[in-house]
Amino acid sequence: MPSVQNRRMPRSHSDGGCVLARRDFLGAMAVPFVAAACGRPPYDPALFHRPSMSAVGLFPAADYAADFSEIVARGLRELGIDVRGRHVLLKPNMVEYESNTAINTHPLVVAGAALALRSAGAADVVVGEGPGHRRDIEYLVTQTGLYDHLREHRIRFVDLNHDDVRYVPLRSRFTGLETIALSSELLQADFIVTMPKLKTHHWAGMTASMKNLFGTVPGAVYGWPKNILHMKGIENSILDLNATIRPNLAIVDAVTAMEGDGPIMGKPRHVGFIAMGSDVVSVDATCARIIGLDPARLPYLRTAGRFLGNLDVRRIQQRGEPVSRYATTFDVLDRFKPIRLERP
Amino acid sequence: MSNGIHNLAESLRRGQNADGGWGYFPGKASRLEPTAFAALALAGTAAGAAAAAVLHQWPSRDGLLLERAGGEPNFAFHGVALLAMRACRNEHVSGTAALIGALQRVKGVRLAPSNTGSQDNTLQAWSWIPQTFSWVEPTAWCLLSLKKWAPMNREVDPARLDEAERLLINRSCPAGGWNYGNADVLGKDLRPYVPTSAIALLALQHRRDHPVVERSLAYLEKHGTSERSGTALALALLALRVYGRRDDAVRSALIGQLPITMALQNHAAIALAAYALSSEQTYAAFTL
Repeated sequence: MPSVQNRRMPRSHSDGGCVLARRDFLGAMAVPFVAAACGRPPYDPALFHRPSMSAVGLFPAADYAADFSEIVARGLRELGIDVRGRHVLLKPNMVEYESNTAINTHPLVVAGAALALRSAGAADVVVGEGPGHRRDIEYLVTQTGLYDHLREHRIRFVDLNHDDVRYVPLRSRFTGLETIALSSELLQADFIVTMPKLKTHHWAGMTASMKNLFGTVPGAVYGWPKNILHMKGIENSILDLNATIRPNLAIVDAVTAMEGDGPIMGKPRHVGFIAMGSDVVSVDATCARIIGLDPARLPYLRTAGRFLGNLDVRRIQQRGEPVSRYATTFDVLDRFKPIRLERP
Repeated sequence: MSNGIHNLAESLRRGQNADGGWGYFPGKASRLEPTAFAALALAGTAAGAAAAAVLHQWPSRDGLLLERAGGEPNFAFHGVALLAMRACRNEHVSGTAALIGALQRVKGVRLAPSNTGSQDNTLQAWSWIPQTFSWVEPTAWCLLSLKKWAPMNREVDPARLDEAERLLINRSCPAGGWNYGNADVLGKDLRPYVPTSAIALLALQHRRDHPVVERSLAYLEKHGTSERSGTALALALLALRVYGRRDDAVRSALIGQLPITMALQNHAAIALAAYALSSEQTYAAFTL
């Protein structure tokens, strides 16, 4: 079985990257491409292939009584995704538990995806998460109800915060780091699915498929809440993690999303769909447009659109439902109001 | 219940690596935190003796214990290991005084005042790893371990202990207890958590009359069963015991949680649960 490291990881570069810290975020919004100001791009374009077109599927799910196994199976079919023989790791977003909120990827969506991927021929499916500040994963899987589904369907869980680790070279250098420690089980998987909850985010603007990869970073090595990456800049870290891990598929839980002061203290907002796609930039750009944010003005998405995937709506092929069916305007903190899309 | 404790201990023994240490999970490489908690839980047994021997030679750099062989220091786990060594009457090969000295030489970085929260960013205690900001859990573990060693080691600097106490007091949530870091962010109060509150209370045993400690103990008594996990319930049980408070409900909840704790197989959680539930324990490792 080829490891992610063997299959995807290039040799590391020796040049330093440019650091975009959290405090620079708003300033960065006015700069077309921050990295360019530092002299040379913090990535080698030859290492990345951006497809000419990317397909993003929006599939209706009125509520959590929906059959998510069937919805994800439909998505796999309509997007032409083949997982036969693949060793799949599902990475949900589990942050904190509060009843009647929309913080975490719903366990029914996670379980449904696992069943659909198994039915589609995956060799095995595991669920892995490494929460950013609640390092007590037993608490989260118990309280959210995920544990019951894991047990019922005999799905193995991997604690990405405390798993064995290997250092791998970063494929881009936005943080200035040369290598990063990642879970051995994550690196052994050859099909990684990022499964976020769609939420506004009080530092990054929006959290979806790309930001979700923060939870792959092992807290036992980097501390909580993944201190080093926060100090190197959230946006930079999102870019380096996605350039390095290269998730194969995104399945976004936007049945009930979160608006306002996300990712924890925002308000639930019913939207009613599952988004899927193999280009995480296109998936997140589509989600941003749906919730009324301009993806080109979210710094990490804009930069990702230059080398990781497609941001331009003309390069995104819509499957399933049209964006217009779900388009709305999410409440956001004042600092993000300038990047709202103008709705007619 | 003795069967339950026996199962926990047996699970730990089965999970012990050939090198005498424990990974967080069966079959994984030995790590400092689960090895230290397992040494505490199995003290007095052959497996515990093997664990103590591993801690005795645990890899270190400049007096700081590494989180794993070939890894980097983690100050919280260094503190936990010092507690285990104290309880097991164990010395590190480089000398426990060197470990204590090294822990006092490291500090969380000082940050500029911020308008995102009300906390005092000038206070410096302990971060998880070098060159980062101080957080509640590493500060509490390091503070507790240094207080535990202080009577035997004159090198423990009271000024470090004082600043760490002030940081914990400063970070406490308005309603009592501790979040993992800030008490508020962007004008909103953050809620306390059971594990961090229990560890901070253990570290502040000497300050029982402080209003923050009183509020936090009240929080833990009321909400000690609200977070269902082996780790949270075991830490809550330890803290309530150390403060001499009623713990029946927490103990029952921990016993009820054991099937999940065992199924998830985290050795650190299993060891903490085994230690907290053992009728033979006087909780001396955590009592000042």
